[in-house]
Amino acid sequence: MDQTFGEAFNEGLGHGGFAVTIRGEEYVFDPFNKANESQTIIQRGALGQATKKAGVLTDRNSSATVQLPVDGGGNPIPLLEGDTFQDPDGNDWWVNGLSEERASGTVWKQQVSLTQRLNA
Amino acid sequence: MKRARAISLARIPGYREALQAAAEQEFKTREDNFLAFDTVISGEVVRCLPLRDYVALTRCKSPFLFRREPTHFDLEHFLWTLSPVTEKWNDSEGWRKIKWFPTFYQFEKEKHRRRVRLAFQLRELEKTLVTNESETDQPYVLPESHPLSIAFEAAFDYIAKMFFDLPSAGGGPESGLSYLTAWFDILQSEYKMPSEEIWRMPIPQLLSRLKAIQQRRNPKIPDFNARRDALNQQVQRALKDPITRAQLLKGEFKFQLN
Repeated sequence: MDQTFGEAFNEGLGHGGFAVTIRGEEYVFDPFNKANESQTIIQRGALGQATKKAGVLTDRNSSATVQLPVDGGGNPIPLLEGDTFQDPDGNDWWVNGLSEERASGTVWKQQVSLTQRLNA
Repeated sequence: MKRARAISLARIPGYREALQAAAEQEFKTREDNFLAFDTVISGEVVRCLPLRDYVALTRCKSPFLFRREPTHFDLEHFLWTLSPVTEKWNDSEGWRKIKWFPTFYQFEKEKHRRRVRLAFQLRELEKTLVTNESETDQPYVLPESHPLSIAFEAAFDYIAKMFFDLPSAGGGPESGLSYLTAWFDILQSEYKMPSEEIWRMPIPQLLSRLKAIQQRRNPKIPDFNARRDALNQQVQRALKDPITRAQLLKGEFKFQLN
């Protein structure tokens, strides 16, 4: 596609988006941004120089904009704290923070923060 | 407990292409809206809807704003209100200050009405309606190919384009202010504009500026992109039904881009 400078300035396509069924309703997470916490493990020699180095993933958190399903009257069916689902990569998530629902036209959205669920 | 399974949007056949097309359409619509070009509705030129005329149409309960079934009288009124000719009678243009000039208003309005009636074949339509009423009890259904049907659709499309970038609304407490007070207050506190400039501001520019201010003041609110959001609504609806869900995943689902 030919893209003008204007289009390249502030237009981006969503990334990592997915649709998931929660409590029988379809929610679209788009964009879905993961923030992985990791630690670097360093083994040092006698002079303090690094001799071995490795990384270990310690925690995963994410944030997303969620497009909400609506009922027959056009009212949104919001996500709830504690809702769980599995992303397309097979990671389980737990909803631990929610913004109020916001609307533009007939579309409703919510900002959510998520934490990885390790005991699923 | 069985866990909910997610479907990556990028893996839905045809989604990426539809998303790309939606993004291109959004870019074009936003650019056109900001440039505030005139639009042609079935041969009649209409201005990019200024706030002042939006309020006038709202007060007249124009069905095009309230998404109700319009009549040809509504269309005539709509096209006349937004005609570039009516600008001649606005205060700032100065024509109104010449005492004998308002007489031309009725003349121009009648000329416009005749042109519209001819273009939309209203005389023939009125005859058909009379014949239909005397010969059958069934209500007359206007064919989709009739110039009036095409003009109705174009007028609704024009309104949809004008309101393309609505700022998002939340469920907070009621402000107790008119929407006009709130819009003027936000724009004048941010841009120091005179009221007259805001009254004359095209609605798409006004709404996109309000949206920009909203995003700057509160970067955490969700982004809304009309066409992309409509695609995701189609995904949501398709996944709810087992038949369309299977079609979606097999690539047999056709995304609709308006």
